[in-house]
Amino acid sequence: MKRWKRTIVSAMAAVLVIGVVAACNNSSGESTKKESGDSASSGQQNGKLRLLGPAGSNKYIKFDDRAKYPVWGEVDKLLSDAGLQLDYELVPSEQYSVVIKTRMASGTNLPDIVNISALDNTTVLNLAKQGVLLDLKPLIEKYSNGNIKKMYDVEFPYAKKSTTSPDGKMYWFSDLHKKTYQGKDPAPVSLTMLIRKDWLEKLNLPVPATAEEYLQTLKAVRDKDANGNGKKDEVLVYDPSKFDGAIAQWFGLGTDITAVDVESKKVVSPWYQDGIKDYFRYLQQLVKEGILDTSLIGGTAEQKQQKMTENQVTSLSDYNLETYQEPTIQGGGEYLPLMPLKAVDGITPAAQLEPPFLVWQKYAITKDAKNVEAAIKFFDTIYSDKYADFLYWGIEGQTYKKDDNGANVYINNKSDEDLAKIGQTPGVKLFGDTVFPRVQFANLEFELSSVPKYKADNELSILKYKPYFVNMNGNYLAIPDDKQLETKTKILTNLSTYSTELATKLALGQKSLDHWDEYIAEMKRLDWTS
Amino acid sequence: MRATSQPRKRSSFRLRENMQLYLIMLPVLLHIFIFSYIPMYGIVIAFQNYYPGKPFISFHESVNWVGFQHFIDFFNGPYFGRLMRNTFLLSFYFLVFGFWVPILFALLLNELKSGIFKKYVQTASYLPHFISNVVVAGMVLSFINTDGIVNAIVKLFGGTAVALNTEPGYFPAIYTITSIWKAFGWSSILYLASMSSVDPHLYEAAKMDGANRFKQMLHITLPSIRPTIFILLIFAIGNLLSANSEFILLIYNPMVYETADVIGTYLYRDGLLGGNFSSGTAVGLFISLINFTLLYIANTLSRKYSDYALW
Amino acid sequence: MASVRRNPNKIKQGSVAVDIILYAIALVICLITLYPFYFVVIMSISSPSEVAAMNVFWYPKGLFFDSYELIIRDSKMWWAYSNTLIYVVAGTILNCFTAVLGAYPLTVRNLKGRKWVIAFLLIPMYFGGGLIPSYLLVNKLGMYNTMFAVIIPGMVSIWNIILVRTFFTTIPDGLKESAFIDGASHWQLLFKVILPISKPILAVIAIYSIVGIWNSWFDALVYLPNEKLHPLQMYLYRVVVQQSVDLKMLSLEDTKNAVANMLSNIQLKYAIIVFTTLPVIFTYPFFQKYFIKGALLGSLKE
Repeated sequence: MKRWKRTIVSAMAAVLVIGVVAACNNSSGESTKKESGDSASSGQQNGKLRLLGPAGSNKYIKFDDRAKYPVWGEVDKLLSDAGLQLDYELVPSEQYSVVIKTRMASGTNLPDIVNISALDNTTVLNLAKQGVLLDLKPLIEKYSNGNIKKMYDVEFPYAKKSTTSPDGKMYWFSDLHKKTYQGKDPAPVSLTMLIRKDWLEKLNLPVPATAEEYLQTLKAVRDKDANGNGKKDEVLVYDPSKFDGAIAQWFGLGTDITAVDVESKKVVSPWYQDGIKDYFRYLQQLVKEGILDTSLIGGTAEQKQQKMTENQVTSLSDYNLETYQEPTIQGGGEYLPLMPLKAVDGITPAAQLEPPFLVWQKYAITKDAKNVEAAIKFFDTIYSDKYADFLYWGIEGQTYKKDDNGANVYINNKSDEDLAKIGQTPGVKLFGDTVFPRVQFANLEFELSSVPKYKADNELSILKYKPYFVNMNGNYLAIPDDKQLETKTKILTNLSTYSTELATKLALGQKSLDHWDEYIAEMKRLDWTS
Repeated sequence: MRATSQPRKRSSFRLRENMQLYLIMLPVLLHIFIFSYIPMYGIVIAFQNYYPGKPFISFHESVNWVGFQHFIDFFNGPYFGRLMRNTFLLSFYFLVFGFWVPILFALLLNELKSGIFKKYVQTASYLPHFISNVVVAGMVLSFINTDGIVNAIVKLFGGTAVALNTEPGYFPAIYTITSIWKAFGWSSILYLASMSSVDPHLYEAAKMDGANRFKQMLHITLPSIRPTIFILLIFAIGNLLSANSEFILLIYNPMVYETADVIGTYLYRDGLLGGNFSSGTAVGLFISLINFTLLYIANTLSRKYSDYALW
Repeated sequence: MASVRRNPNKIKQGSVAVDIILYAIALVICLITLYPFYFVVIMSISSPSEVAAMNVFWYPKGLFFDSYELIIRDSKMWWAYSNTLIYVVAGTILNCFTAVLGAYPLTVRNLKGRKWVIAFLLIPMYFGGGLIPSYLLVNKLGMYNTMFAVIIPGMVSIWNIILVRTFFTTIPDGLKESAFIDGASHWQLLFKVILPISKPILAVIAIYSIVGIWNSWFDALVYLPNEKLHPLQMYLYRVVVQQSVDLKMLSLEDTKNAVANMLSNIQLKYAIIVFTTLPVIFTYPFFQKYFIKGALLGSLKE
């Protein structure tokens, strides 16, 4: 009995103490809230806004040093002309995801405008349902000067689709990007198989034109010791566990377990497509010949970089216009992008494209915003042509110029370190993706002018190439509603575990294609929505 | 023992003594209550469909209670058996092959004569503890690569190179050896501290009796660390379902899922793909319950047969 | 045994051979465990391209000290260093203190409800409410974005309490009894008798705390958005996190930057590891003397 009494007494004592502590904090919390409330109401006139976002991760061009960049002066002027006074809270980018998740989930310490890109669609919709985020549509109707509407309706009509929630509301603004060629044609770049051009030339090998030739070429490159180090260690870097390496598309396969066929507006899964068995047969051959480096499967970007630096990568899947791999090769080298190669009769090889229109990142207005008019004004300023120019191109004559055909091209194609020294950079490196959305009117002309001709040629032929799949399927999928979401979260992990494991084992020949029907039956069992 | 050797106390004295003892503990108990017990209400999301931003406990419809659905889904999931087996086996191997290593090492160090060499060995032994998982994983992967150091040694002795990183059979060994290597020096510190409390006179007396070094170790040093060994063993058993998933994530790949995919790594992928807070919490709760039960059983057995126990 | 007794001198002779074996084993262990750190050090001073190619195994290739220069010149790093010192000193003292306070009463046999207290301690080791409730609590207590958020929640370690308690149980009862006969209270017994002979375990707790706090970053990640309050390990964490970016999720332009970042970080990582771990490794020898045979007696005599 006594023991019980004591327990109760001590528990009560503990509760008391905690109650006092909590009370203290409550009152202090309220008093600070009042203060901020006061400042916000006085901010009603002068358009004060608090913004929360990640600090950029650029080592040299830092937001803290913004005063020394002319482009910031221009943007700052745009903002102050709109009567805005901005108060930034920038959190180190590596930390931001955790900070925003905890703050949003708890609904505390919220600013007026917040970058919530780290949250997935579902979480955001739930936050909106709890009233943490505001529906933007009525606010735009009421306060906007028309800029936002113009940008979303005229320039980026598809952006609306991927940012409107199933209940017809809109909770976030986005980064908007489009890349065009000759002023209007959409210009996607492709992800494709790259092959060492200098090695082909050195060994007098022709550029492979079919999948079979490709295999033979890789074999020849290795057997003839193209890098000349005395070892047969020239390899193909390719991850067979997913379908986002470009070889899969040679067999007409989609780029993900659920991929979007944009032309026919259908969702496809590579597992149920015609070329799938041939694809694995082909991979098995690559593995058997020892061309595909199996030790890199599931490896990190850093490990792949090692192979690259060691001058051992004959071929890999990457952007056709990439220029960042070559400088890292010890001894140098050149990568030639291949067009999609024919692999099977009856299947036209597809290309893998990065969509020319991108919509990504999320910027929202929170329930704690005292001055929503100013918040909308902020986004009106962002979604203007002037801002877009400053952001992506910078200042004419300083960071970019017009070429003969009137297309913008950068002047200083230098490293970030040098750009920081001379203080000349387009806005995107300085403040893009922090609390400032990116609005980008990119063009292909500049990209083409900064790559070797053989890469540019590949890009020009890919522009008209069909069929194709896109690598960022999310851009084409509508936001799921609650029900879809529930089923998705329930099956997705098991399904993708099964898919990656099966794909890898098939490619490595650890599982035989003979039992194909069993695998598919098992997959259908996991994916009971199909 | 003390109770019998001292005159019987009056109960008021007992009460006062107990008050005094609880007073000593009070700050600690209070802290644990505030920082460990108050947040525990978060466990309820194991029984909901929770998404960030929702309140945990609320009486209107925004909380979607699903009872034990997440547990049932996990038990009926296609990977339940494999995940449980892998999680258990990896910790079990570590327990069986790794638990006694720090003890042996501490005994070994204890036998070395004090001096610079001993200090160096001891310091060196605990260095691996400081190397971040990422770096260790990078080293391990480069060692077990087909053209890595391990295969070079295999070839040296006339063997043929094996794909250590793609063959599921090797994964448990790789994981266990690396984990032991990383932890044994660090874990031995505790044993060394316990050994240091032995009265040197005991050794001298034993020497007089003609006990050799091995016997001294067996009858003096080892008993001095027995309580520590038992307590650590009880906790090790209470952790039989928790493999180091942070490290596994860095060294596994789809080809070795069969032996390498543990509950922690599965939940990581689950969280990454679906943001499944609720099912993650449910699985975590399930694991904790099992671990806690194991701890309870281990403690009960230990108390029964060895007299060392947590309570 | 019999032969030993007949020939006492042989014990010594035999032990020389044993000594040699023991030393040889110790040497091998030493080399195996020393290598990774050596590896990190030579990586940190080799040229970035060699590091990226993982060509460095036995000796540094192409000496390169720019990473160290970059770190040393970064004022943020020195901020982080001083923050970490504050966290370590405060946290270690508090941890030792609370471990002793929590452990001692549990060794007294006629403590009523001891079982319950131990259960009270064990449950949080296995069950927790997750991140969000803890965040809400810290926020409610007004500690968000202050140094307290890292120090206060971590000032009690249940694991340490159990370790100290285990050590206390090995203290001979005779010591306590003689104190009680002198009429000492539990407070006096704890601070005058028990503590002085507990140096070895306090040294362990101190080392565990120092290293634990020195290496910790998660609390800072969650509770300290202000970079000025970051501990040293956030520095390393940020470099490591950047490396794990999935390049396949990025657009062409962003990939360019990510690759450049990754390349410069591959080598920087090693320099930061050396820079952030060396100081804490050097604290170890200061505590080591407490782990030597007979340390207890030494402290008794003091």
